[in-house]
Amino acid sequence: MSKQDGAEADGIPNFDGSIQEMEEVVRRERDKAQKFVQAMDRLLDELERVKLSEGGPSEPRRRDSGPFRYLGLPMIEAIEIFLEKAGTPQTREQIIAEMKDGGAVLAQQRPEVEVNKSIDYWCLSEAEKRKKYRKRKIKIVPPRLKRFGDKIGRVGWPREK
Amino acid sequence: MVKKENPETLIQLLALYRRAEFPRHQARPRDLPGVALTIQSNCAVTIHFAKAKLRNLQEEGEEVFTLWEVKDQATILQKRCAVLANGVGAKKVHEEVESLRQQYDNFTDSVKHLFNLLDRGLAVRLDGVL
Repeated sequence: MSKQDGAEADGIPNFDGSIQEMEEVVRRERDKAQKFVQAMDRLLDELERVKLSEGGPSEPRRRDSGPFRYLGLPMIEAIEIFLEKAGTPQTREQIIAEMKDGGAVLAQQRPEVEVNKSIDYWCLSEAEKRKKYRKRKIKIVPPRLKRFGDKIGRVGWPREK
Repeated sequence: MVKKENPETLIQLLALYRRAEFPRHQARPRDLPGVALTIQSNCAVTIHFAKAKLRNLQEEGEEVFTLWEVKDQATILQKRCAVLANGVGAKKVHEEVESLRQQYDNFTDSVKHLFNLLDRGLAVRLDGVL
C-alpha cells in the first residue's frame, strides 16, 4: 500500500480529487452559460435586423448593464465603452474592476494582467511599435488610448480633461 | 534534450505545453535542470508557433504585437534555460530559481494574453497547464 493510500485509510480525507472535479464542472457550466449568452446576443441582433428591415424603432445593440455587458466584446472595445460612459480618464484599477464586473475578462488567475496588457498595447505610439517590429514593413495600427498622468483616457481627449 | 515539435494551431500548442514544477521549498542544484528543460521545451514550441503566424503579415494589431512579444520573451528564456540545464552552483541556486520563476511568470502571462486574444475558450484551459 502506498503512503497516500495509508493516509486516506487513517481517516485523513484527500480533497484534491473532488476539488478538481468540482472545478471542471464549474468550468463546463460557465462555458455553457457563456455560449447561451452569446446565442441570446445573436438572437437579439437578428431581431434588431428584422426590426430595421421593417422600418421599426431601433434600440442600442449591446446591453449596457448586467454582469455580461461586455461579454464577447474585444477588450479594447469594452474599455472604450466604459471610458465613453465615464466621460473622464480612469485609473487602471477602475478599468480593471469594471472589466471584471462586466464579464470582459474571464481569466481565473490574475485577471488584471489581461486588462493591463491591453491597456499597455493600445497606449503605445506608432513609433514605439515601429521600434518593436524593427525592420519589418507592416502597417501599424494607431493608438486608441492615452495616458493622462496615472489615468487612462481615449486618444482624442484633450490634455486638460 | 528538447524534443522538436511543430505546432501549427493553438490547440496543438496547448497540447504540447508541459507544467514547469518549481521546487517548493529549499531548492537544490539538481532541481534546476528538470525545470529548465521543461521551460526550454515550452519556449521552443511557442517560438515555432509564433514564427509561423508572423510570416507574411501585412498589418499589425494587438494579436500580432503579443505574438511578437511572446516570441521575444521565449527566445531569451530559452537561451537562459539552455545554460541552466547544464547545472548551477549550490550557492546561486536559490536566487536563480527565484529570478527564473519571475521571468517564466512574465512569459506565461504573455502566453495567456495571446490565447485570450486568439481563442478565449482555449485560454481557460491554460490554467493548470502553464
